[in-house]
Amino acid sequence: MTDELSAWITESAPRALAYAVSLVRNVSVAEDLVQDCYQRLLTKSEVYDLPREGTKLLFKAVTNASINWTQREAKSRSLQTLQNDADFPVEKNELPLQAAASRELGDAVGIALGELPVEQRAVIELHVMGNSTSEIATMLELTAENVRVLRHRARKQLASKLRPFLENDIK
Amino acid sequence: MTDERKHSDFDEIDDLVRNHLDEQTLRFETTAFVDRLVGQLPKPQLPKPQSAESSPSSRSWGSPLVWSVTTALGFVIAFLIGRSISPSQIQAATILRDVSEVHTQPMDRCYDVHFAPDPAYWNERNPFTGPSDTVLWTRGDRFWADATVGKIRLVYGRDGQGKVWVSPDRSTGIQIYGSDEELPEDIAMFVAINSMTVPSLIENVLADFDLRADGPLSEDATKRSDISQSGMGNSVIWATLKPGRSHSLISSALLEVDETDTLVRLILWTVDKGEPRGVVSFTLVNTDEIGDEQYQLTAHLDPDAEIRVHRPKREKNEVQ
Repeated sequence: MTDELSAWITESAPRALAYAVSLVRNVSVAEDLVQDCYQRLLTKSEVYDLPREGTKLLFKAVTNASINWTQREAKSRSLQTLQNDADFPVEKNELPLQAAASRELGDAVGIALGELPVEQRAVIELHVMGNSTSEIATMLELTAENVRVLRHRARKQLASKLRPFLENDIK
Repeated sequence: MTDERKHSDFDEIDDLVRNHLDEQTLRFETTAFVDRLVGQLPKPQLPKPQSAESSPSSRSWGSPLVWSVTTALGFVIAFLIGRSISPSQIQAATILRDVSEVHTQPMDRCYDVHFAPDPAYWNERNPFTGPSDTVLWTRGDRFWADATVGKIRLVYGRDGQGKVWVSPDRSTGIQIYGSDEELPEDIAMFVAINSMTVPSLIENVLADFDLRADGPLSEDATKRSDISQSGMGNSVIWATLKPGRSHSLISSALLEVDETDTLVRLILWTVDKGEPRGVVSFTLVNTDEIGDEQYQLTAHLDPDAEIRVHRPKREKNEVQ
């Protein structure tokens, strides 16, 4: 069983980490969140068949942990900016790729994703990873219709931001 | 644009996002991370972290409902099956029950609240993580506080209807709507700490802690240089993390109760991401009757002030 769990972690962790980084935009925070999610799931390894059904549970946990963290962070920042004349720099958790503002396609996609609200980002990324609308709805505790709306908005904004890179130029 | 054209564009968008995720997956060096996770596997069921200081999961701290049930059960057991509970635990429960009754009386209490950050924690740039001094008035589950944090002054509170509010100056107020259960965990805990009502404090803040009554300050206390001698006849209750529990903010706490069963002092040793954050001390400095109005946002604003409404989103279950 340990070998199976080990193989499952080895296979799923890189993708889960990349996904979490994309949601929270901070590598160390993403590592903490993903590790926390694994730990929680592993304590339930006798309840769930993690090697077979754990990946969905993992991505659900990572999604909600990341969204919760992002919302808490935004709230904390909004409190910090209540006082407009505060003379301290707000620490930003930007990835190097954001700061570089490269015009390369990969960076442009990363930047465009980073400008999406975190729930839209989660929906579009879970979608391209092969999750169905109903699965995403379950993960995010939304209705399927809401998932479609979020996905449409995400695609529309990405299309707008990435227009120069698209073969089918969107007018 | 035709539907087919739209569909094609969106497929292309999906491909770009998919490729980006693939690249990011390869980009991060995850060997050490994966090894760390796999390294925890030999035990069939992973133990929970032993302390807040060493816990990577210390950000999470169970739902208030779970705490309430757990704490209630703990006290029932303490009273009914006292044989399995140490005398100091029973004494702590008894003291806190008496304090709880006293604090439900309509008396306004003023606490001087001081936060001293750990030198290693505060970077001296962000004042919100630096030293702060607060005058906190509380009655029942309502409170209002006038806080000075660096150069910033902030007034916040919770009124008689349970609404939490914040005001950065007399021209602006923010009213936060939502019950305690709907508040984000960090705000709910902030509220529970500040209201200084013993049931709330015990159930919502210290539920993961063992409470032990102590007469004279223990040997452990002597290691904490920032504690002055407790008053003569006062009871001291130490709160230490239960085995296997973690807490996102608090590593240990001290409650001091005087002969009238009033909480006269609370000291919280706090952590942030497992590292010492600093010490928060609440000291009773006054009791009075200041009236209901002071607990309302409008009492702290000019007549033409703008009041904004914020409705917090309920956080989602991370693991069911």
